[in-house]
Amino acid sequence: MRLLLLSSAFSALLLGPVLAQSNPSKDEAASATTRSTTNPSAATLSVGNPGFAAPGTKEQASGMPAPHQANVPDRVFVIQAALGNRAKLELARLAEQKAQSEGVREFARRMIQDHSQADNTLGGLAEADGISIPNHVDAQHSQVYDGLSRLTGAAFDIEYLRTQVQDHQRTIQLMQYVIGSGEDTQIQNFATSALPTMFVHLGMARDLIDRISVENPQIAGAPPRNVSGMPTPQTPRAVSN
Amino acid sequence: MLRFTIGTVVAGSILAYTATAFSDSLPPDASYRPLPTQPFSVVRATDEAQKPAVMRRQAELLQERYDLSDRPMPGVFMSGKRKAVQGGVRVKLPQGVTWDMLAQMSPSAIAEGEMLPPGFTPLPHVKQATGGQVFPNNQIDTIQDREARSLRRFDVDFDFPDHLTPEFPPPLFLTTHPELGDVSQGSLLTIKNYYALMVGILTPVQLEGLRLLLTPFPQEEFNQTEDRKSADQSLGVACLDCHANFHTNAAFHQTPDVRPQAARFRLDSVSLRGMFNQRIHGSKRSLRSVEDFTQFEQRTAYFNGDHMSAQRKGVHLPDRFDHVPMMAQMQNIIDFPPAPKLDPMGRLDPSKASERELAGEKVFLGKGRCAECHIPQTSFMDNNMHDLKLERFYEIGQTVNGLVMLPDGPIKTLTLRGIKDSPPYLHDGRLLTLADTVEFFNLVLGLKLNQQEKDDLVTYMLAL
Repeated sequence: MRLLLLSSAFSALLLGPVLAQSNPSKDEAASATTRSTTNPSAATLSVGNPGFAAPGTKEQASGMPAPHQANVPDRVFVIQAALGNRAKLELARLAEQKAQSEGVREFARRMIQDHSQADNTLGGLAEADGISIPNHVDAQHSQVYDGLSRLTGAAFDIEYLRTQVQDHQRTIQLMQYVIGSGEDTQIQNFATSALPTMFVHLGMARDLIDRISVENPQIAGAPPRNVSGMPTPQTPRAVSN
Repeated sequence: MLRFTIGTVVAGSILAYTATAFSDSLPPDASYRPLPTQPFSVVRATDEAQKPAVMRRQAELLQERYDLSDRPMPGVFMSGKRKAVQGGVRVKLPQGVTWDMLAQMSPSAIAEGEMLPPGFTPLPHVKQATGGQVFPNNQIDTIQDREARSLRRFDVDFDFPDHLTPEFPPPLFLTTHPELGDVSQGSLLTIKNYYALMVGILTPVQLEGLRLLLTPFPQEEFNQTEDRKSADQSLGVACLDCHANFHTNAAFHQTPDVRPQAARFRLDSVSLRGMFNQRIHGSKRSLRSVEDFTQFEQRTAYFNGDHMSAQRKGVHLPDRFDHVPMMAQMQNIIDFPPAPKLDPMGRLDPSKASERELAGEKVFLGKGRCAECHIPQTSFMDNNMHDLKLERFYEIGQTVNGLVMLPDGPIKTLTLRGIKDSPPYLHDGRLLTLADTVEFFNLVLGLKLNQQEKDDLVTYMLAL
């Protein structure tokens, strides 16, 4: 029940910052950042350490960077998040077709739903800031897709979920990175709004792995396939000795 | 619709795959402090321009979370009798919620209903993205007056009102001279006055340790480079600038142990009283000796977890065989304030304690489960770290004033001896009064204490 509610909230949150690009005043921005846990839609005030800002940064007010002025962390984040988001979508579509477990297929549908929205939002943010997102999928994710596409059954399910744990962990750290080091309020708002849902996704993937691994101990305990790059949960023991 | 390009299929077993996914690292400045990009004058002007909004934002957060009013408990003072102990629960409840209502709810129901009082959640640094040490005004003014050294930052000020912090200067008690009581003579120990105050009381080794602990060394925000937050080039910060008179003045910082910056939780300076009985050090790191801790904090510009940035600003490397033991030996003779109602094993003496204090001790040892970690015989700690799993009560990943709220994980058990002297409470100072701590643990541990039991616990802790 909670997950469903979060899912629909996530879509709205991802759109929120883009729809609200009205150049808030300094006071409005400052006020919006003070929020309780009951107000998850509040914005972020871009007050990073100016010692690390690019020389010549334009300001909308004294000390406040002008909107749509992405710094290096903003750019790194938007590009990496967009690439990761695409990969999550593509792998989810593959999982929707190939997964053996209904739980994994349901997880994949959730990924498609949430990350489709994120894909649109990130595209809008990139366009607004003149950030060029590569129009091809990065080689690593392509190889992961390649590897996964040759697996079937529980082996696919487990390996797919491992990629999702790893990729969501990476996304979570990237979002925290831009929240602390970014300069563009809209981009930071996107990360702030989406981050709680990334933890929900991560928790779902971890729970599913645990369940399916217990049901398929031989597959879960097999030597690493170098698809997800993650270690197996247990090391195979020698037959003798 | 973009689709993956399927690479060449490697013939043979699936074990023949060579790709390792996601091996590209995160950006280096997600861990390492970047090099400055702007001249000092530009940075200072920008910081000063941002400051009113930054301070207003933090003030609004504190007002939203807490009752910050000056409401001392009648007749209850800290050990030096210079400051009253504040009373009452100060964490504000969400509208329509009562403490009894919360106590009857499951953690998941509280999380679902977003009913956890915000004051129970992690407390942000006043400027999370920059972080660093922030001193209260009493410390800043005294050091400016005595040493002509500025601990004032141009980008932020201290955030809590003075009446919610420890008495200043705090009294100083020595294990080597219990007969003397407070040996501070009402003064703040500084590099200027320590010798006159302490010669004849301390040994030469202890005096040298004290000198080192009072000597300023470059710190991340107080140094001589363009990457500083003091108006003038600074000689730096001394250990006792936060641990005033080996206690605490509530100066705060961020944990050195977490990255990226947005995830670094706030640290409230801990008292060094009772160091002689502590076996682990650091809220997160569980360093195994005060020698390790003392040496290492000098190495990383005081609690930044970044030895590389410290190197650029002028790192102090105290000699392990000479300087460090002297600093440690000085710290290891700092005593707790007297607790005349406690017997040698840390239990209340029934002939001296009040009925309510004794009732509080009973709750402390029993229904309250306090003594499972805060063991009276062991200076009210257990030399362990524990995870309270507060994330059961709220949705993690929310960002408040730049801080991403994450599970606290295991945190060291802090002593409760002399606890009335060291507000605010918890490792990040998120709780303002002892009554707040009782409500916090009543919820976190599912104790279901009644009001009398809560009041008795507070009364008992005032006697420790």
